[in-house]
Amino acid sequence: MIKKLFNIFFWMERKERAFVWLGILSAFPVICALFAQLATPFLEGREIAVYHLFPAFNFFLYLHFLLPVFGIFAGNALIREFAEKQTLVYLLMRPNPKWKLIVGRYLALAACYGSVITVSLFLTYSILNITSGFAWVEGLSVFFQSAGVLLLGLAAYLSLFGFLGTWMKKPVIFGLFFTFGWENFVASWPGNIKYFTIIHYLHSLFPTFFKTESIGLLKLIPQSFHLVHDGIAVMVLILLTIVFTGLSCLIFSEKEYGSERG
Amino acid sequence: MIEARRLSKWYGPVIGLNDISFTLEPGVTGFLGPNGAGKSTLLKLLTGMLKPSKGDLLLNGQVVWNNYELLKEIGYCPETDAFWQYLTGREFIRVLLQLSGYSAGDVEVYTERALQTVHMTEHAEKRIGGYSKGMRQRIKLAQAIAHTPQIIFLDEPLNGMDPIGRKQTIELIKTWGLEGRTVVVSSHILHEVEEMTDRILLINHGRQIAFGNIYEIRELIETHPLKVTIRSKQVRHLAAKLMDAEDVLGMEFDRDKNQITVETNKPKIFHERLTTLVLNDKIQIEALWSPDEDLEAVYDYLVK
Repeated sequence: MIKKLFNIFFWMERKERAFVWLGILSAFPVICALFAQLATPFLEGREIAVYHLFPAFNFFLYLHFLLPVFGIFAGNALIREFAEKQTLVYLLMRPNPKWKLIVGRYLALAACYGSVITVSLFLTYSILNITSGFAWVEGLSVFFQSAGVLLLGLAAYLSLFGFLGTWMKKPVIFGLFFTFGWENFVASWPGNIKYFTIIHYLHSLFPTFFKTESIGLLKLIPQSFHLVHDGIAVMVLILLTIVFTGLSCLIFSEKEYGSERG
Repeated sequence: MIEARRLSKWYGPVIGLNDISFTLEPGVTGFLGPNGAGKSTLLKLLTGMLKPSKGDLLLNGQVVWNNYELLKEIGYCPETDAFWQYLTGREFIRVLLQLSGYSAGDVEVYTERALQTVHMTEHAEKRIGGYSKGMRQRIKLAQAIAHTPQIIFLDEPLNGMDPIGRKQTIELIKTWGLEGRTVVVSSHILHEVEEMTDRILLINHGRQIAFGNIYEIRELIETHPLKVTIRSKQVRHLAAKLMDAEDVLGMEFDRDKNQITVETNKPKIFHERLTTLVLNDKIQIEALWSPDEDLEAVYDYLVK
């Protein structure tokens, strides 16, 4: 049944306006990459090559911009959007255990938005490396690693904001505060408070090959990400995903959505 | 069979329903009450979307809340005008049947049958976003009955329907009742419910006022004038035709809004007359409703 629910929700989500808008948004780094490539003649003789920009694109535009935005809006789409648009009643009247609806929908959203962000990252990577010859092949492992980090991040953010959406109204506001406020704010704090963010674990997994080539714009990227062991970071992210999705299932099964009106 | 025993629902300190008891046998039952009386709360309890604060609620001997297996037997047409606007009418029914776990073959058969029942086959390929209010009501009705449920809950199903749609829907509801299904229709319009059934549960301010075959209400309907507002581009023509009708007591004309408000003491005859007019004179009606205020007066009278 979960597979069936996944297929239906995957098909439905691709028709949603939010999907179209996020798809358009995901073209932003690709367009930036195109401009960067077009600017190549102006970089002649400088110490920076266009393909050096990929880590910066990855860090600033994907990890710190597209990923949280996708996480917040996809998480909102899990249940809250149905409640706000008052279409939740149609789901609640289906003879399915409610947890299956959550799992089916979660997987559909993760697949939907995960594929958009991966395709966007791949296009950006390819455009930036289009004139680099063999470096395109050499850097593929970095691309896959980056895509893996983004997908893990999307899974975690989606489950967190999905959970908030099943529990409370207006999770988008909280999400924006959490990702663009709290996570960035505490990143530079001493002590252990940064462990209460998702981005900390994503930073730990972030590809490091560019560190030896930290030049120009890349100098802006913090160089001490490896605060947590890779294995622990992956485990924490998976654990967060499972815990928050489980909590969503629990709340969705017990909450009386019939008393809400958006 | 549906059984409610001393059923109450509170939203924090606010009482939604208070101490409601009834037993519903197969057939049509009307939940009657003004807007905000608690009809929708009662339907949400009956469909398992809300959990009773107090009392028992059993459908076919089973508790409703969180009993998803029971939902196979239930069809629900909500009051809210909410849809996935990007879907076509056919896709909407199909998706909901798929979500219920029916096989691909059954989904196709049930979808076409439901569309046919509500006379929407012709418009099934249009997006719901482009539907009129009446068409949206029909497609909502179709999803409620697509899986042939034995218990059907309809929350204000005639809202926004044109006279022909109303007549067809009333006939459908009566047929389902005669087939032995348990049909519950909520409405704030007395004569609408009366056309479908004489078994009524009257609610006001979350309280049960009366339950059963209420002849007094009928008598009151006949003596208490009812206001009906009609919006149409041919409103002048319509007004001229209704002017001399003996069941029309008075008429207010609003030229700016293209609408007339008719006062009638024989709503049933008036609605039959209106349907005939629409058919014979090909009058297009954009909207038709009863202002709530005079109904409030009827309920106030009954409560006293």
